[in-house]
Amino acid sequence: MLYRFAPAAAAVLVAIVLPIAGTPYLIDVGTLVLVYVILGLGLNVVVGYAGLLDLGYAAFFAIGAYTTALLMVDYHWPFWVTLPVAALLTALSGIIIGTPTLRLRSDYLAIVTLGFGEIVRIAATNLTFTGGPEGVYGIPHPRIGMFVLRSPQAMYVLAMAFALLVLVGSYNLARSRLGRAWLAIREDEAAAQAAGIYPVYFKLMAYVLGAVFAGAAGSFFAVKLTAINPSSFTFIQSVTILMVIILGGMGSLPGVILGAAVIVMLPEALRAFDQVRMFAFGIGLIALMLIRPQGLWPSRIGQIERRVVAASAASIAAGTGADTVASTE
Amino acid sequence: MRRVLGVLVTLMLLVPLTAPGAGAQGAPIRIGVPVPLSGGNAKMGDDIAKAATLAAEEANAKGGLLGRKVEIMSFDDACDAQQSVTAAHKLLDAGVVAVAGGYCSSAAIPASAVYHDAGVAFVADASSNPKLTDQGFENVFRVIGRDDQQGPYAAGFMMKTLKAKRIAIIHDNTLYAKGLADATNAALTGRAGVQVVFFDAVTPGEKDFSAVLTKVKSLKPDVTYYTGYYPEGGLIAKQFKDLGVSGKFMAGDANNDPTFVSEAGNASEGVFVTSTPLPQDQATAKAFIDRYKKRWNQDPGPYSALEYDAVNVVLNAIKQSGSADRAAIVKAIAATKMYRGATGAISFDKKGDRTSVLYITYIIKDGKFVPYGVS
Repeated sequence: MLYRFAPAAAAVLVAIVLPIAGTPYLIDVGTLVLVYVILGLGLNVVVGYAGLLDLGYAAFFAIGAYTTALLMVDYHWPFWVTLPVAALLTALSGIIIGTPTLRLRSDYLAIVTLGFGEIVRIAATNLTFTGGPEGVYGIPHPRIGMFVLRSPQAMYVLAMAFALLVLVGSYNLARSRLGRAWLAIREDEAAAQAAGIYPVYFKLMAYVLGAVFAGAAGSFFAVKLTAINPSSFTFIQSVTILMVIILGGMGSLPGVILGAAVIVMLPEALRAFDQVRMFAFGIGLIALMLIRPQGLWPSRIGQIERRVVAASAASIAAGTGADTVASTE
Repeated sequence: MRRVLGVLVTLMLLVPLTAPGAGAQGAPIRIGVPVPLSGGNAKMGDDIAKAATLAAEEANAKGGLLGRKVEIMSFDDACDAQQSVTAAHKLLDAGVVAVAGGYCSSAAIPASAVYHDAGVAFVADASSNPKLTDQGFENVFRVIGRDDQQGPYAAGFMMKTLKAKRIAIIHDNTLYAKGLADATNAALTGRAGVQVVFFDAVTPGEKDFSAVLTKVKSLKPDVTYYTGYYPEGGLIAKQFKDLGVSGKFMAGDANNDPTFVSEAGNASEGVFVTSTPLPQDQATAKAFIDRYKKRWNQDPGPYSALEYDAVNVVLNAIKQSGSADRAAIVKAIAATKMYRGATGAISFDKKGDRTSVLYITYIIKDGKFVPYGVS
């Protein structure tokens, strides 16, 4: 039992002590970890729960960030009011992109989402109202009454509130009827359909929920940086978010948190390497994937599956379980 | 086993958290230098960091400042908005009293907000996008000119010296390149007999620009002005010549680098580059170049002298105010009047922009950048 709770307890302790005892830099790194936790949890709904490979996830991140930034700068809306608008717009774009494309099988979906990610970034670069390559500057800090959330501590607490909300949401989603439907579709779409689950609807739900999570992360990102431009929403950003969940373990909530921590903190810890920093980061990631191909903290369902598959493979090898491999997949 | 590993990884992640924080009183005076040390602009970052180190070493050889040593803290901002903000916090944590550096405008602008909140002076050496100082932060200065100063200069050169009538402008949609392209375009628009026949962007990182250049060729320009960075600039110059596009090829100051020549090969001959003068073409910079070469065994980069001046402006401000207090430094830098740096006299206007910036045009001859009539 101790093993199970020790890491979680350590993480909670760090999360609480950091804003009190940490320097602004450490708090800023912690805030960035939380941004990637939100993004990772969102993408985890799409990739981890529903098994849809999305390579353009940064697009929703961008839509959320731009919505908040533009509403705050051009129309002087308060931060909190921009949140539902950002959620609505990301959900809407998720529906528009998802409805036609989610009928496609995995590889094709990956290509379409990849294209979507690039379209959003290039549109933001070329449109005038998004500020072109200069993006949006002078985004105000959010305020509660007269209190302005400006300090790294305040931003950290705000990010933590977002992250906890998304974490609880993700946890409940996985255990809901929706979550079980996603699991069924991910494992065998044909069988799920036979059992009365309409795959396109549930896939769309996953896609849209994931988009809304990313939109929330984007809204926060805009007020944290106070300046956004399209270069923050490149394909590499989508890949980085994907890396968070693959590194952590797909479908696993502690895995996503751990993955986000590694992706953000490893390059910071490697600052001593200076010019070969990103090179060392790459080597570190390859090493981690070789040592832990299932992720740092894989989901328990995934582990059980692997055990079952290994057992059936063993029984096939023994020549006794030929009837268990009816499916050609 | 898995759980033990989980605990271990968690513990490993805690290690960076225990790193030491801000320095104590009486410690060295720390100047922050955020520069790209990874990615495509790493060479520029390296050149800039070396110039900053040289400035600090020279100050220390003279006994330091206020009886304290000067120390340069240089961190990688990767030319990325997000990373530059993290690097900015890291510099503030390290207890820097002022910041002098930066390269990409897209990284410098978000970071400038962090420095502003902390009340730390930020002297940019190479970020020329107008927005950096247009934000109205009283702590932000720059020793380089603005893109909207280079744009009119480039426009004037094309119209008057090259007598161009049909002008094509190519940028790469990055903050700096678009800004320079817009400023040039604005200065050309409405001039009698002059027409901007092409205004569009290429994608950074691409290698084949024949689609764009074929379009440009069909428009028969007298001059094609490329405002992006040198990694693409060299290739564009090469393909420009290969495709036989009419007229001259001209490029903005981010192409003022030997890499441009090595990429373009023979096609670089006769290419014009608008730029602030390279250190070796400025009488004031001669002593700096000699010392830089002696210290690093290599030629200074295009922004080395500017960074050297940026650091020295900060050091001069500390000397003038007699204090290493962050707010006092901001005040003293704003009051800088005709500081004699390696790139000439330095004063700042109300916005923090440098007054009287000189631009010249280079022509590439035998693979070397040769000044083409100083204006």
